[in-house]
Amino acid sequence: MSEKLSSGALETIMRGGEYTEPVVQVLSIKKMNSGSGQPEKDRYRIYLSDGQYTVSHAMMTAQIYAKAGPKGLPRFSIIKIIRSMTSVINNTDGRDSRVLLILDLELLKDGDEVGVKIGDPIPYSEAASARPKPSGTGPSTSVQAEVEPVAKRMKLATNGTNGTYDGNTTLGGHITHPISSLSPYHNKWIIKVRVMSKSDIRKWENARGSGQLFSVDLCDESGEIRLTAFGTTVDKYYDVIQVDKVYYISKCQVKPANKQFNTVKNDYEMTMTSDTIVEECLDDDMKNLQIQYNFVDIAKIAEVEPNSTVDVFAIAKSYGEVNSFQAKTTGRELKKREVQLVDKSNATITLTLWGQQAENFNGFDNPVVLLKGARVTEFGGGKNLGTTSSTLMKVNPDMEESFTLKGWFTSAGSSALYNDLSARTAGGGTGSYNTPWLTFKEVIDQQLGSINTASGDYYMVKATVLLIRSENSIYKACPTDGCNKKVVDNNDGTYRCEKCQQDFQNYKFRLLCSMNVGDWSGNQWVSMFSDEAEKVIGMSAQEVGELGERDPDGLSKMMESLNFKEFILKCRAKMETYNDEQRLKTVAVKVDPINYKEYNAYLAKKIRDLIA
Amino acid sequence: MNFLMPKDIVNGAMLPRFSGKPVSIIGRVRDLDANGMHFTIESTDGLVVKIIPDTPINSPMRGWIEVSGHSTGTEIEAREFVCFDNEDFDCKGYNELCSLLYLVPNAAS
Ligand SMILES: [Zn+2]
Repeated sequence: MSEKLSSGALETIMRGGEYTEPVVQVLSIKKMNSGSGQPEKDRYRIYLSDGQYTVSHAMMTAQIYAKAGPKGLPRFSIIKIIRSMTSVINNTDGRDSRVLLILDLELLKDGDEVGVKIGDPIPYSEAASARPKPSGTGPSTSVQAEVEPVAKRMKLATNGTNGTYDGNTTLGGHITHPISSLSPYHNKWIIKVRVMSKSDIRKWENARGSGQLFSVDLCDESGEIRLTAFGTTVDKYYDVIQVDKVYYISKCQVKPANKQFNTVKNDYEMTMTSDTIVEECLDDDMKNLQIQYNFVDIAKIAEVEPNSTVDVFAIAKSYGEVNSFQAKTTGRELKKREVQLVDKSNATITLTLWGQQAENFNGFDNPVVLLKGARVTEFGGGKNLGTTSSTLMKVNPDMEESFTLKGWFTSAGSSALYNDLSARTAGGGTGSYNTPWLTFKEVIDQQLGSINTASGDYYMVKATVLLIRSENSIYKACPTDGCNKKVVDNNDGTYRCEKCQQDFQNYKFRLLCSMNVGDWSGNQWVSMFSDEAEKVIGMSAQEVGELGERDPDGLSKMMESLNFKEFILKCRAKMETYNDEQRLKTVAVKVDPINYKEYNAYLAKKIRDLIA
Repeated sequence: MNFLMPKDIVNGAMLPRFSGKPVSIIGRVRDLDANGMHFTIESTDGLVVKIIPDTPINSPMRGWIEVSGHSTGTEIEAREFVCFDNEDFDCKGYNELCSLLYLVPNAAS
């Protein structure tokens, strides 16, 4: 079954007409390196066909190209152009030519599957030559006739600027361009933008002189960009430009963004020049661009239905590496990264990022993460967050609240204990809400560990630490992600993992702790793996391991200092046989700080049940 | 009277039942009279209770507070205060405590 191309669509578009979502074929594609060494700044030039005509002046950014998927756009691919605009470029020979900028697309059929050029298209410029052509000698009337529809087309494709302006010489009367179309290669543009935020004026003085700057982050429907003013333009515009107002802006210098200082989602940023024009737009406040957040505490996500969306404002407490694997159904290579988010509700949840978002995420120094419309998922009794194509994610957003949250994390949040909403129940399916609360006496009386012999029996208990064994609590483990197998010291500076069948130069510390915990009814030895032991100790396995090597006495003192701390434990009890002897083996699969409100409600209910 | 003396833990609705008796109540400070002669709290069950201290209050009061004193049935002639600095207080849990204390005979003894 072959796809049908929108025959004649390209001619309509290149003449400035309107054509809704044309289906076209990619005949060839050429990557134009930005020269910056950053692939995301590359541009793609495409040779398109609609079956009747071909167009060679079509461009798209790396971001749009990425929408085609991991394979990109192989030759003969069939795409639907969802959004586009045409732009007039001044050629060196004095003639204008039109470029088609693709702003959004959808891959309909992979070129490798199509395999052939559809139809027998001819180049559009040749087709156009049948009509009066704008050349040096051509009649001026025909030039006018051709230019005008192009202008109309651009109006339709841009920020909704329509023909209601009075046509005087201000920027407001002109055609505006979307932010996403700005690039260093194109300097005749006017953007209509809303000011999202404005920095303070920063002044500096050094041996080479003094200076000042401020920046504003601007947005329109197509994207966002940062504009920075230096020197005298600061005095000229600082008071003029106000947050939340809408402006026409023109004649700035566009250059690759310095991502170190600029978290705005754009590969470019702008600098004001002495020619820059800023003019307030009074007849359109671009209300639809105001983002309304409805932030939900992470702790509250426990009660949120799976597949609903939430807005979250949190700190990335830790983040994992990018993992690549093949999708089971499509065989495509997928990349993902997990990020632990925490907030003041003392809860933590795992955010899963995919693809480019996973690769680009920089979790260094516990950044603030803002999510608008993140999806809540449920797996194995735990809750997780994910992003969809409509999720807005901002890292270290330039807002007052970011500083407050960061301040909280630095002062209290980094050492706090968090209730992990994403923790899965090892037995599967049973969340902490339906695991029974038991005392240690009840565990023995009810013979836990012998009921569900395959997966073990689970219970919740509020327990006090009586003793933690510091001997053999630390081991050297395989550094491979997710392996954790104990390594054998080869005594030549290398360490062997039998599971990975490999020698390593390094190892990581892991914990395997045995502790005696008690409640009013009795006590119990339980073991804990690294993640849970870290929560009891309040230090990372690495820190504990280093302390143990440096100062064994300090390690036992530290372990002793944990006595009489209280936690809510979720335990798995399982009867195991050692040398014909039955022993109850208990693992604390989840350690949480005590949620007094919840625990009190449980006790009150228990009293009600008793007196009923 | 001091904090070591026996007293009943109550909420706003229970004040009349303990009229003339030493009680302890927890609430959130609403407003303080300009002379410091009395102030009001909103109890955990949402009632406004007038507190009359035995000596005028001369320091700012805000947030959650435990008041001990004698119930007049509608007000409290207070002797002691404990101010808490937590923003969050489990009102539901406290009301449940008040109710359970007098549901179970001799629960607290
Ligand atoms: Zn290994």
